[in-house]
Amino acid sequence: MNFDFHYAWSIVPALLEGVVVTLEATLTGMVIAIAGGLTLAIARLSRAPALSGVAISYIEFFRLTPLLVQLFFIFYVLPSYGIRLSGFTCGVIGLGLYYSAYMSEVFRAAIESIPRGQWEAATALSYSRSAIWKRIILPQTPPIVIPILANYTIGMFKESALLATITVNELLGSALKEASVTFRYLETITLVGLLYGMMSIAASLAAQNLERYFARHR
Amino acid sequence: MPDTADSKAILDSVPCVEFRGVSKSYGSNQVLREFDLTVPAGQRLALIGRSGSGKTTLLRLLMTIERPDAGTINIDGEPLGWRSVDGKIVWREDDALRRVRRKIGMVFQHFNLFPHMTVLNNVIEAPTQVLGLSKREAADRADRLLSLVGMREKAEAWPRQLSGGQQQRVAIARALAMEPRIMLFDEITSALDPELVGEVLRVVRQIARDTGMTMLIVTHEMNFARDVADRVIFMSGGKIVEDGLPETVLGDPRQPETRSFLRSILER
Repeated sequence: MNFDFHYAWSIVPALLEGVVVTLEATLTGMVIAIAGGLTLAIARLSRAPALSGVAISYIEFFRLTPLLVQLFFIFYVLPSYGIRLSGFTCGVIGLGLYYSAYMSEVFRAAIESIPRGQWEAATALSYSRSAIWKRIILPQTPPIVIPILANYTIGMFKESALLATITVNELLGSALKEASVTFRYLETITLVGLLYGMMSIAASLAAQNLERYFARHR
Repeated sequence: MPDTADSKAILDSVPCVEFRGVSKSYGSNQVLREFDLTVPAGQRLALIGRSGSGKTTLLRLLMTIERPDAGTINIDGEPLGWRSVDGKIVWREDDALRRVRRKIGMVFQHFNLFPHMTVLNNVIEAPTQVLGLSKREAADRADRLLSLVGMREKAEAWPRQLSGGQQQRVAIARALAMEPRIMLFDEITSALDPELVGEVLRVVRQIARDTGMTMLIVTHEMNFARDVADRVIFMSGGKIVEDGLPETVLGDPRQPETRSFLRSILER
């Protein structure tokens, strides 16, 4: 079987539409993961044992079960309980919940790396606990969090290919749709690999620059 | 007007800071044992003693960074933290505690400036966030205080660009910006290079001279303690060993333990 460049070129527009869906899924998923991760990290560090217990259970559960199983659960099992969501919504929620567990550990490490003295100084200035979080502790975390966040975003970008299995026409899904008609898997899957690879390389270079920037500016 | 005179006398007679039977342990290490101390308003009290004698813990309890295991601490007659709720004594981080705590400011051994803010914002931040001052009022106040500590030119600098002595002077301005009535100084020169100690102590001396603030000063600088304080306490093992005028405790101590401590400081 020879690589048909004409055919390959002809499916590029369809694949680029898939790229847009992949990027949308990754960005939305990451927003959920950041919000979820931050909430989990604060819950985990809370003085209330019940709250931190719930957070730890969540983190362990989502890290110790496969993302694909979680996606299938949301997509295939929840409808039996009357929760019917589009494949894209399920996928984004799945990615978000799964990566929340990982992001929470990043936030926790960042928060714990802030010296005790910062809490003490803020207490001595009569800040309330919530104001200490908002004004003093969390604003100091981005230089530590952002480089790692960038790497997790690349990870999520790649793993979003799993959404093809729950009917989402992201990059891999749209390619499979094309190939299922023409049976030209060589061109379609090769192109998919190239597109993921090129975007990952670009993102990874950007992540390295971010890391260097924050290493200088800490 | 005898009435006002009387009520003023009553106000004055309420001690500013009061420890009653305060105990504090870290694990099995008991730092304070049923500790009693009364500090009248306006007093400059220097606390001296070996490390581990409980003097820093005293300040941290007062600042509510630590909680006592037992006993009460009163500020102007108001209890700090502990409340009786349904017959149980519980620690409450509530408005009442914050109102009392607002009277107290603290300067730390390691400065603890906020690294993500400029010098100016370090000083403005709490007055706007906690006291609700306008940015303008807070900036005016900061300007005045940064001049006082000789850091006005560095208002736009970041903490990491400053020497330890400069950082500590900013930390003093930051604490003063909350206009506390009681200032706690916790070994504020211990982390400094020797040549930077003087500039920080000069600032504290000036504040002591120009204000009526109550001050609790933990220090190893005996000359400084002698100049600034009107009362010196030597602590050991979580207890007060000697308590008196600076010239007595530092110049002619009664207790052998105080004498051996002062000798060890001088031989440094």
